Amino acid sequence: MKAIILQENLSKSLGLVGRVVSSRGQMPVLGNVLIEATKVGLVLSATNLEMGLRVEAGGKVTEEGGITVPAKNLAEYAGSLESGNVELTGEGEKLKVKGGKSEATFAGIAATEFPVIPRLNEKTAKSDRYKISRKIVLEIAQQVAFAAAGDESRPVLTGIKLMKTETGLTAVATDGFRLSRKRIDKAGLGGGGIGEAGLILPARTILELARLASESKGGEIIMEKAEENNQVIFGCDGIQLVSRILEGNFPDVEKIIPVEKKTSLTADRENLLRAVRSASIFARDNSNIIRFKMDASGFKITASAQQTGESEIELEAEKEGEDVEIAFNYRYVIDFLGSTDIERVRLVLNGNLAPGVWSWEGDESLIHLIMPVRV
Amino acid sequence: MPEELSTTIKEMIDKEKVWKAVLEALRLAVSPGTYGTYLKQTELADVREKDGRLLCEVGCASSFAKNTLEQRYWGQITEELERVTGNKCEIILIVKSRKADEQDSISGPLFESKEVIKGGWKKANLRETFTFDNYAVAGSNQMAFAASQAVARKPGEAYNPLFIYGGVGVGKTHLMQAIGHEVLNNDRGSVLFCSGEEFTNDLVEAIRFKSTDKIRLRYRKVKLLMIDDVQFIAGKPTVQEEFFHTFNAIQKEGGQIVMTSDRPPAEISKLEERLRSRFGAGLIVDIGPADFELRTAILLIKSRQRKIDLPMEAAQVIANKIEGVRELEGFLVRLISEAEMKQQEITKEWVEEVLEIAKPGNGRAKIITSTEVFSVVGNYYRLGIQQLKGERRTKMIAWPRQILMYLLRYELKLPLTEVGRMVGDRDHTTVMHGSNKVKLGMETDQRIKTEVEDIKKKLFT
Repeated sequence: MKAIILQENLSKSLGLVGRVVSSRGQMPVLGNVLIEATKVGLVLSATNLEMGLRVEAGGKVTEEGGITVPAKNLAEYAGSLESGNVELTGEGEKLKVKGGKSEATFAGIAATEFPVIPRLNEKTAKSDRYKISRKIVLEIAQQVAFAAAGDESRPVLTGIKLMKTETGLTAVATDGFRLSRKRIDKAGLGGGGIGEAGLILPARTILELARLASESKGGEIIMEKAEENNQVIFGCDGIQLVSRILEGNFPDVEKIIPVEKKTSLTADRENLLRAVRSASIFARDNSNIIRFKMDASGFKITASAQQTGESEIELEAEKEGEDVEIAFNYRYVIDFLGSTDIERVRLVLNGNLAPGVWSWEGDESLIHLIMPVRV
Repeated sequence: MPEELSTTIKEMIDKEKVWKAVLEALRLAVSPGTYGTYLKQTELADVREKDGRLLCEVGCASSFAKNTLEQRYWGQITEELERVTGNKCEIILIVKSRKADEQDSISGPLFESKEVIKGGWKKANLRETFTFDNYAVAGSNQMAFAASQAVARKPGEAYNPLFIYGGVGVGKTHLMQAIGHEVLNNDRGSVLFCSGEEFTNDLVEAIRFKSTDKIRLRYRKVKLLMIDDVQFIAGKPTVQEEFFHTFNAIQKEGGQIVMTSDRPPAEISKLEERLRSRFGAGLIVDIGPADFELRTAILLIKSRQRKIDLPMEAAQVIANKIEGVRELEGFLVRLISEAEMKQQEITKEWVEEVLEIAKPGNGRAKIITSTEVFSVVGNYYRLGIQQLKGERRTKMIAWPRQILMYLLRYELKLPLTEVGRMVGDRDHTTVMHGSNKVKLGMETDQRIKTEVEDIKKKLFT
């Protein structure tokens, strides 16, 4: 193979695919980036077997072909080159990279060793493709994804469940301790995207997609399902992201969202966030527990640990209903408060054992549940 | 059906064995990286025979693995499979995540606690107030209570099954549900309470809609199954058979079964022998009718539940007059509503007053004539009225005659001489002696008491 590409384009594309390169050393080829020289230009791909990413990098190809080389090294090297043309030449299982006055040769692995990453079916009619706006992906990534489980012990909880509603779609994620549910109106449903049963996608996929969407220039994101492989392919501005679809029973979240409202509290989000952050200093050594106390004297946040000391912060808030004292893991509270830039948030409580229901003031679209800590 | 089952199990073991052998062989042939990344998570999902060849479905963890295996290791896998099975094989690769199938429904405290707080007992069909705390214990039910507590502490281990029997309103259901509450509170597993009749209905419904599988899942996966009034399944062969299998399935999994009935298993007619013997395999306990002290205690507990203050003396007065536990509760409700209506403090005197008014309301409003008493007693002992009035004094006749005198004297409140005149012109002292003997007998001998109560019931209803 032989191709010439601008240093900026090579470096940027390598940065994009670098995110999904496998960190496991078991299969050396998965730590590599696949460089293919095709008629339309250079195409870079990487995969960790959970997700696959293909980026059209552009450039001028004079001889078609392909090779894989260690992604991290190449990205670092490409970043160090001065801007201008970079020449890539494949020689057997080696890749020669020449830019300006520097020249390097990377030892690689044959392209045939690289796993096949499915691609969007070019023949599918445009109207049959499911389109999803970048804004929605960004919203789900920011407001919902953080509630998904990080550990793999319950794989289905590492995902975000998307469900069709009459007016749009609902996205839910939970790790068993907290839960985010976002309702989005007018999501622009076209084609049979989500399906009646809903679709569970790994939260990492959505986060990655959001990152790609925010870095690329405009255009809608298209989605195509490859049912037989249990995969979904997203396409956006010359980039294709392939991800597996999670299987399993996603817990029924609707039935655990409380309808009662014994205590309701509204407060300024930034003040609250600041108070929780400051209380967290004392909570760190005590299982991350901070206490919210609401009574006639007002709203207080306290935290204490034997070795550290204790803190009490009084906050301005509008309270309705019963007095209550409840304990939360501060991390969960910070995660929620940091997920939005809304001015005021509302917290609804039903005693100190039932989950706290957070929402935005004057906006019903997002609900966030946090399980209290029993103390 | 058992045969079918064993063959599928055999196949399952075979599949696993075969695939293990294949993987071990492939492990030697490929690099550790390839093995760990692509092959390790595969499984032999299905094997079918087709045209003398084995059609093997191999499940792969992801489509990447599937594609790689398809392109690069297809031949090798087929070769190894053929070697291990000794048959021509054809493989089909599919994407199947094993983890997804094995996932249980436990999803973290957000989901669990909700269930515990909000209706574990509701889901199990239990009544909220039927707990051990609300159960009064006295001599008549001490044994049953102790057995139930033991079962609640160690479901499936202590006495399995536990069979509780006794008359109406003695607290069988309460005791059984208390076990359910305890097991739920200690998070020992799922609990299901149903009556023998509900079980029957569920099954009939399931057969009608061809959904017996669902029923099986519902009844067989529980840790504690409680069947109330189990005698109702007697005489229904299909229901008994289903119950028999349910019973065995639960016991096999180490689950506990608790049953109640109005009589011991040996006396339930039309019950299949295999069930009868199983019912008796654990512990059979009876609960006797509540005695005076127990009734008093029950009254105090019930009044506390209703958040009213019932003085001890008042409770004793009521317990003295009313015998059935359900009637006690009924009277208590009436007492409370009347007290509220009249703004009356509940005192011993006032309770006595209400009791007097309540008496005719006890189902004894009927006006009884002496002739009726004669015929009822005569019928009960299969004696003619003339025999009762006659001269013979054998025990066979004398005892019913004395009961007759007792009833005429105390229930119809007739004067002694009048009673004597009616029962064959006897002297009033004979009547006094006879009726007193019955009265004394009732106070000392439970059997006599039941006998007289029985006749009274016939008389008043």
